Amino acid sequence: MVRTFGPFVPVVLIWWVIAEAEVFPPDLFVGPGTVLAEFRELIAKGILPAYLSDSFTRLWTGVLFGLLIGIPAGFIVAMSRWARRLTWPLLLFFQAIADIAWLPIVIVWFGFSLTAVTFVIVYTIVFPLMISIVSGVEEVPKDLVRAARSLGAGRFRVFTDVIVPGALPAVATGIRTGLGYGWRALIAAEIIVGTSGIGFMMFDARRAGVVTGVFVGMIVLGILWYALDALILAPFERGTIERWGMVRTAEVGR
Amino acid sequence: MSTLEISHLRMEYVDAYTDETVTAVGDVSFTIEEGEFVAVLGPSGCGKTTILNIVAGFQKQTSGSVRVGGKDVTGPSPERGVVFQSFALFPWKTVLGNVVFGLRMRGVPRRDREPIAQRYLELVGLDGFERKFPHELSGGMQQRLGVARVLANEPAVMLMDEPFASVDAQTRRKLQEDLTAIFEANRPTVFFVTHDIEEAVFLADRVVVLSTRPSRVKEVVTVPLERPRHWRDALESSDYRRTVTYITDMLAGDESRAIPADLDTT
Amino acid sequence: MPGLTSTEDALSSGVRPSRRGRNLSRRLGAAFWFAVPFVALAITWAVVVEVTGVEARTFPQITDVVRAFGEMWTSGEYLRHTGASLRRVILGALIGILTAVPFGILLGSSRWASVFFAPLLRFSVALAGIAWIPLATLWLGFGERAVIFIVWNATFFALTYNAMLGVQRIPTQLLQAARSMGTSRPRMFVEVMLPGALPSIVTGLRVGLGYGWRGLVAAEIIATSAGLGYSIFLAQKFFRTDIIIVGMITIGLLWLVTDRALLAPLERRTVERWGMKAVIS
Repeated sequence: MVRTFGPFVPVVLIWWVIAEAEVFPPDLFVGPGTVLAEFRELIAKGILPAYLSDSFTRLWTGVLFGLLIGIPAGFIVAMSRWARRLTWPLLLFFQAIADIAWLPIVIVWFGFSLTAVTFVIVYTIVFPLMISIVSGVEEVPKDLVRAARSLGAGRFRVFTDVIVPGALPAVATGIRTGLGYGWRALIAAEIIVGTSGIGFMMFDARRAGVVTGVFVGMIVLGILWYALDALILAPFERGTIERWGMVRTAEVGR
Repeated sequence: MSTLEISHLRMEYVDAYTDETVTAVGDVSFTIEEGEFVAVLGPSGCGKTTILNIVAGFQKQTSGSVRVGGKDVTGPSPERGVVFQSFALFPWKTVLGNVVFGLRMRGVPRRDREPIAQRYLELVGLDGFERKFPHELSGGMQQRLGVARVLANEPAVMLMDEPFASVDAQTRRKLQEDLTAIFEANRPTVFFVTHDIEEAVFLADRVVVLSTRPSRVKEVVTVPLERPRHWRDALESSDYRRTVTYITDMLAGDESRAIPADLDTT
Repeated sequence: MPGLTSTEDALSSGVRPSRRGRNLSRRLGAAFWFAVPFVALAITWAVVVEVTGVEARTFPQITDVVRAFGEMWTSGEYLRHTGASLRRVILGALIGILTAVPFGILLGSSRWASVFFAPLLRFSVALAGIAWIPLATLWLGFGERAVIFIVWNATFFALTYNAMLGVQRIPTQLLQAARSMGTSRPRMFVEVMLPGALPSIVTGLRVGLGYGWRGLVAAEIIATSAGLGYSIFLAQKFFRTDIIIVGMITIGLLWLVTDRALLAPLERRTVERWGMKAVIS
């Protein structure tokens, strides 16, 4: 606990000093005290919880569909040589089209709606996930597959008992990458499309020239993603890798 | 009817880089009887691993037949269990889980699985390590787990692909003695691939000596050593030395045509 | 259940289907197979649009897109927008690299500095890029500077964090060896820590640019009047789906080229050549 939050204390102190000393104009830079006060007020008024829940709902809807589509699709492509040949270049290309870039056309199709936003988030998740799964499956050592077959495993069993556990680290990595892109796409979508949500809140505050609101939004987002990544996603990824007894040589700062 | 019958086995493939047809295995025939330990020995690149892969059912031969128990080989099967040089243990399963795997695949009733697995773990000296994971074991112990995993399926023939090559010299000696002991206790039928002459003579009842590619059987040498075998006795035995020298001379001319290990894909 | 063909042809080691052995033919073959899915996609696209008779406003025919591209090219619009986006990315990324790498290495070289900054950096990476757009436009106003700031922001934090981690991961023995050969501090940075941290740095660059590129598109939609993001957003207002698709394909190609023709070879030439391997991110 101390180790996680301790290091932030001096940072907050320095922040406080900079704000107090008015190193930057106060309408562009506020201190922790102001931010905290605004934070409390937004909660009391129920604005922050409402926006947060809106953002969350959109995110998790997208994530859910993304997983439901991406994981099976990923494995199907990974297991079939022809599917891979046909789709791998397409996967790479579509992954390369920044998710945000889909917003305009999705708006043409679905208007400024929840469907539009969900589509973009599903997109952000599906492609990194599929790509990760395909390479993960390919990296399962072929000796393991042979060993399973010479122990009597049929093709289905090889899939469930060797391929899936073997590709699990790749699934975890894919989810983590996809989510990283996903919530960013959400914020952008909320700014562009939005009528609610954290992204919208920040941009709205900006429009009103109230920098505090922007700060609150950013810090809330940062804390949430940091918590999600550090407490759930990264350990999950590490856990699947450790089940392999492998030590990865470098942690990716994401 | 022999347990394993290899008849005029031939394996050709097209090298992707040079577009040449390479004959890895020229014309190989030999048999293995039940309860025999046969070593398949040859210089690097002679196709011995290819032969093992074909017998295991991982590759299909160009021509010739492989029969186990009178039936042609059509694919991998627990009848022909394989012990891999890379161990190929399932890292996410415990020691016990690895041994139980084959039993599960064969539909052995749940309540029988653990006792059977236990028995084989004791046989290889891994009792007490059931709950450990492969990466927590030493190299020697991992390979013993590989052996237990295969034996638990009571295969018609146990195929071993240079199983001790990834292990340090001292552990290798120990594992060779352990393997002989296990063999002498259980008498499985063993097909053991190696390039180490001393290992082959120590372990085997007969040694199939292959030439370089395109390989054929140069000679099948019967090892005149009594069982049980121990390294200390073998090293002092003139029979042992004589057999090793004989085979060494046989292969000497071929050594210069051997293919460097890191280019050997057979 | 689809067959295990992928692993199965791996199973027959040493037995490969016959391909023209020569290098050139092999590469042509690979290029062919790479192009096939796109050709198939294009054909499917053309056919589906014809068959369903969907409106051009909703989904353009492939010929519409090609025509739109031609128009944008001759009017100079295409180059103007693409050039603007490229310029911003390159500037942002370059400044990012020049500021982040030395800073990150410096941090990594000092025990207490890395301990102090790590959580803050990690937090910043978590936030990097898009989330800064409202703030960036507040501080820098709408326009060029805000966009470049976002790209810089994304690359800077990811690079610093990874560079720092990279330095920390250099085996102590390596540093000791260098020190016992009398390496001065500055030379340590350049000749030992920089190469040593390179795998992580390249990974950081990939992650950072990934976020930066997305940030660019988003920022262009929100904050400017030129650039690929802007042009597709403007096109949306007029339901010019053909222009949107030209933009999207351009965006995709640019990133594909950056990643495959720049970053991957960079990783290969430095990291793999030296036998170091970083985690695939």
